[in-house]
Amino acid sequence: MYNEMAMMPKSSEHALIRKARRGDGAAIEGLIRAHQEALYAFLLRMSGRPETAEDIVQEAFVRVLKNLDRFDSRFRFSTWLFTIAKRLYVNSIQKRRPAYDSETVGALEGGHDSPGLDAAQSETIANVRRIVDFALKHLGPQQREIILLFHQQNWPITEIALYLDMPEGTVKSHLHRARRRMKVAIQSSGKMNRHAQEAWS
Amino acid sequence: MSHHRHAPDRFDEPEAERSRFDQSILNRLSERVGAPDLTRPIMARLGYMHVSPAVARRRRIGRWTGRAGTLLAAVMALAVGAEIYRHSPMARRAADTTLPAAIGRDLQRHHNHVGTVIQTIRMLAPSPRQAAPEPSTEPDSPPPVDEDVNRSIAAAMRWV
Repeated sequence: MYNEMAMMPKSSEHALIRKARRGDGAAIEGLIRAHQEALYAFLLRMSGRPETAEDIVQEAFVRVLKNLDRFDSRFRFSTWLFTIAKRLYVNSIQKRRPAYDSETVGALEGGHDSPGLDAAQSETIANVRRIVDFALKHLGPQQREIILLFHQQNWPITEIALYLDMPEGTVKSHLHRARRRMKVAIQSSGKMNRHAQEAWS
Repeated sequence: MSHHRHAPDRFDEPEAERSRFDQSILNRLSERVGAPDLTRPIMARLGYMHVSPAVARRRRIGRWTGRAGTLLAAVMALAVGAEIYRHSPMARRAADTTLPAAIGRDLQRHHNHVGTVIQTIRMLAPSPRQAAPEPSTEPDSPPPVDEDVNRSIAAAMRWV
């Protein structure tokens, strides 16, 4: 789960930010450690390129941490960080068209299998990953973003609405349509549908 | 594999909508990916670096030595500069006189001025000799004769 920081009380998060503003290296490191994995996972799914995700994570943290005095304490740190990262991502895709490398993304996810799984279970998990990659590729950038923020980052609808600057109802509507689109994509592909049936059984 | 984590108040979608698809496919998204640890490169870009305590101590000593050296060099440069200036013709030297000396000089100047004024007044004032000429002390000397005698006598009498 990527919502570790969300579980941290807002006051603790703000205390950490105050320390980081004063140049406390440990506090800065704490902020990076708390958010880097979630941001990387989000950008990896958005871009499909590990190197792009890595570059943007670094750049986003550098920008955010250099401008901590501009942080508005009414919001969560993650919302601000993701906003900066998204802008950087949009800039990067304007320079070059993204090529989603599902093999690489799948391989990165594969590194965290439990050691006790048998071959059949591992195969099922690998298939589900393929299904997820396949389904995500059928979404537009905004729907993919909403799906990732809700299902991957575990952000509440209110925070997604704030982040995307759109009404909550619109976010829910996008989410519903994105899920339906993913389902249709899976069901329309014989191979993926078969994998999905196996996973559900 | 993680389970559905969303609290009911987070997304008021009907329960029926939450299908096996959500649980088995979408929740896969929240699985951790093998994210690289980018803490060090980010910290380095921000100017922070992890070093051992010994290295940190050595660098701290070096930093303070550098600061002290810079301060010493600055003080020496200032001293040398001040000395060069003091001996240069551009230096503005303070007058040797002190305040009492200056007051004394001022008084002297006033005194001189007053003396000049007195002298001037003496020169302008009519002297007693000019106001009433002293009678001649020589009894045999002839009386002073006007140059134009005709003017000093009555018109009826003329010397011919």
